[in-house]
Amino acid sequence: MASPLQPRPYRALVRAFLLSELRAQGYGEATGSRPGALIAPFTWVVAQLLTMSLLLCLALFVRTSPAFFAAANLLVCGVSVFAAVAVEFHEAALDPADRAVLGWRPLTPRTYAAARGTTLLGYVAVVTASLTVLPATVGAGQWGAGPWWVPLYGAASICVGLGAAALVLLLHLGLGAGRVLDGLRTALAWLQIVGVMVGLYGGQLMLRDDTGDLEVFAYAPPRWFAALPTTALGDAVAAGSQIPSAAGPTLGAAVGISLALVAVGGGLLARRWRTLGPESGSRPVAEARPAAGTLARGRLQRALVRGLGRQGYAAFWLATVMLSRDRELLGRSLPALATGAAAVIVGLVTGQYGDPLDRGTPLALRALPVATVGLLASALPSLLHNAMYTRDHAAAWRLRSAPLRAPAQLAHGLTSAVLLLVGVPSAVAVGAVGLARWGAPGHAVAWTLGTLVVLALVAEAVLPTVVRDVPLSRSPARGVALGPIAVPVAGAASLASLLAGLASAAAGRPATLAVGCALLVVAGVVLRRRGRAALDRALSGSRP
Amino acid sequence: MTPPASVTARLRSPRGQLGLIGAALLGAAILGLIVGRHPGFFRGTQALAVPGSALSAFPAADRPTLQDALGDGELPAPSAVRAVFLAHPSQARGLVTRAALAGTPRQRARIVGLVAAVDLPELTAALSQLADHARRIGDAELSALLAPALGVEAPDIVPAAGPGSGPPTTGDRDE
Repeated sequence: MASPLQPRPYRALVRAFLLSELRAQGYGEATGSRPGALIAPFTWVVAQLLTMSLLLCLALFVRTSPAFFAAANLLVCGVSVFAAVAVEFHEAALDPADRAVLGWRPLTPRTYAAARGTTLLGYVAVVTASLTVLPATVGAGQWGAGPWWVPLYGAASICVGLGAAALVLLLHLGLGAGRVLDGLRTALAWLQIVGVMVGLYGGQLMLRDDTGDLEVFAYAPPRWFAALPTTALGDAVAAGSQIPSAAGPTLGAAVGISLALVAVGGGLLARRWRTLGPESGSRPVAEARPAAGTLARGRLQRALVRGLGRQGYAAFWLATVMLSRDRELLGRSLPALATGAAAVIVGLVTGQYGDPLDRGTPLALRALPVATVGLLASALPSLLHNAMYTRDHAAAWRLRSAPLRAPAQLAHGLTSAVLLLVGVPSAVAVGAVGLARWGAPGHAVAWTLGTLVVLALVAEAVLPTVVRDVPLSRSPARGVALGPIAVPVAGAASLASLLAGLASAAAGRPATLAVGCALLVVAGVVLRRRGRAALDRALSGSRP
Repeated sequence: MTPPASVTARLRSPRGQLGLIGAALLGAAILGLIVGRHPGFFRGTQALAVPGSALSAFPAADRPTLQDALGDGELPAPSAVRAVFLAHPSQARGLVTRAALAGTPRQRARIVGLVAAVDLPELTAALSQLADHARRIGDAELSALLAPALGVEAPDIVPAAGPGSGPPTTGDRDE
């Protein structure tokens, strides 16, 4: 016989789980909200999702057909619900700590499962509603949308939301992809922020843009967009809004697929709930992975020691370990790159990411690739500044008390780590996007290398003004992410944009570009030498 | 200024946070209804025009002819346009689509008139698809423009109800 449902424990558990979901810190960094803040992180997430949805609706409203409007909004809804459930999976669906906290209490498994199910469904419902309410109401006013728009769009959105949530359960519990999803949690938590930034940048570009790229894209979307299930659903919603029966087959299939996914995902989850959640498939990411090992073990390490000096390599090693281990540090550092990423996405979506090294490219289409380099460079002061702060700052006494002969090497080691872990992947990403967009491998490689040289030069230029203490030696506090770095940020962006602009102006003259690059390298070496004395003074002053 | 203790206590409870979320969703619904009732206003904020860069897909020698076709001066000879379109059919289709979707009313009228004059089957098919699209999104202006070029009667498009609604008219957009 099935265990009975206990009403009072059920209500208490729902309240406790609800509080835990609202205050969970999966979105803590992305919302800047702490567990005790007046506005809970999840409430901020709802506000961010509504903002993203509003910007998308305003961008597409009466510019595109109702079918494209519905398809784009449903796609964003599906991706966002997927990300939201993946980010809060351990708080909303299956918390391994439940067994220790609740296992000894007189709770029936059915009560526990009902409470967990209620809060999980509530979580998915609120996230889905945040992404449905605006497209449903705004879309009803589209030319060509019929009177059945609101109920049909609502039904389609619920199918997409439930399907996306069930897919996360399936990946976590059925397909053993829990570790991968857990590893992506930090990145997924920033998804709606990136969406809002793309909307803001793209929106203001659209107001100035008179090329009608969006209309043309929406009229004849690429094959990958047409192949998405949300596109078929969007077509059905648009057709059904005039004649409801036209939406029947597609919407019916969507309901069936969603219910099947929910049944499978829910069944897997219920099996775990019956044991009060002893989870084995996906443990949380190891927070304290031991940073064991000695310095300079391999050939690469020895080369780095020779290049950076022993103190420099120590700082490089510490910074790489902390950037990969300290999620808080990573969370403070990554947002600085969001504007650069947003510029690339906007350029791609609006078709304004032209080849800056092709003389035939109109100036207007070179602006975004050039601006991307400036925006990436403007992130460097913030990244270096944030590397001063870590929750493990107390361990910095080792660096402070070590007999350092060249303290400036600490700053250079830190810069190398930031350039290697952030600068190189960013430049390669810019080059890869360029390669795909421009179809000119030579230009893509040259732009990648040029971006790297500019980033390295900018890092050397801002280093003495930003690094005023031993790396990783300060306690993080509210507001430190911005700190007193406005001037270096503006300087870095201006310098990098100027250099990238000059490189673009010299397009078609490889010799000029090569000489320019060589001059930049020389300038970097000079800047490093000139900054060394200032850094030695600053870092020596911060040591006993 | 700190809010009163009673408000703070209420906001810290799950009920208070859910109330905030509910209020945000309700506010969004009201905003959505307001936006949805004014499509004319949002269409009116656009000032589209086919830019010169849209011609970059064509060889430099052919661009002046097409610039004349999209510009304000005298229309080029249909035979010259036909020669360009025949030599570069896929680019021509792209240009016609872009001009019809995102051109000023003058550019739309000129390009549709030229396509009708050059009488190339592939471009006529493109116009036919555009007419279907215009009917689907309720763009009466484009439908009225395409109907004579295709030799059909313009569909009777009824605008959605509400203030500021209805498909764009020539006056809504930049000439």
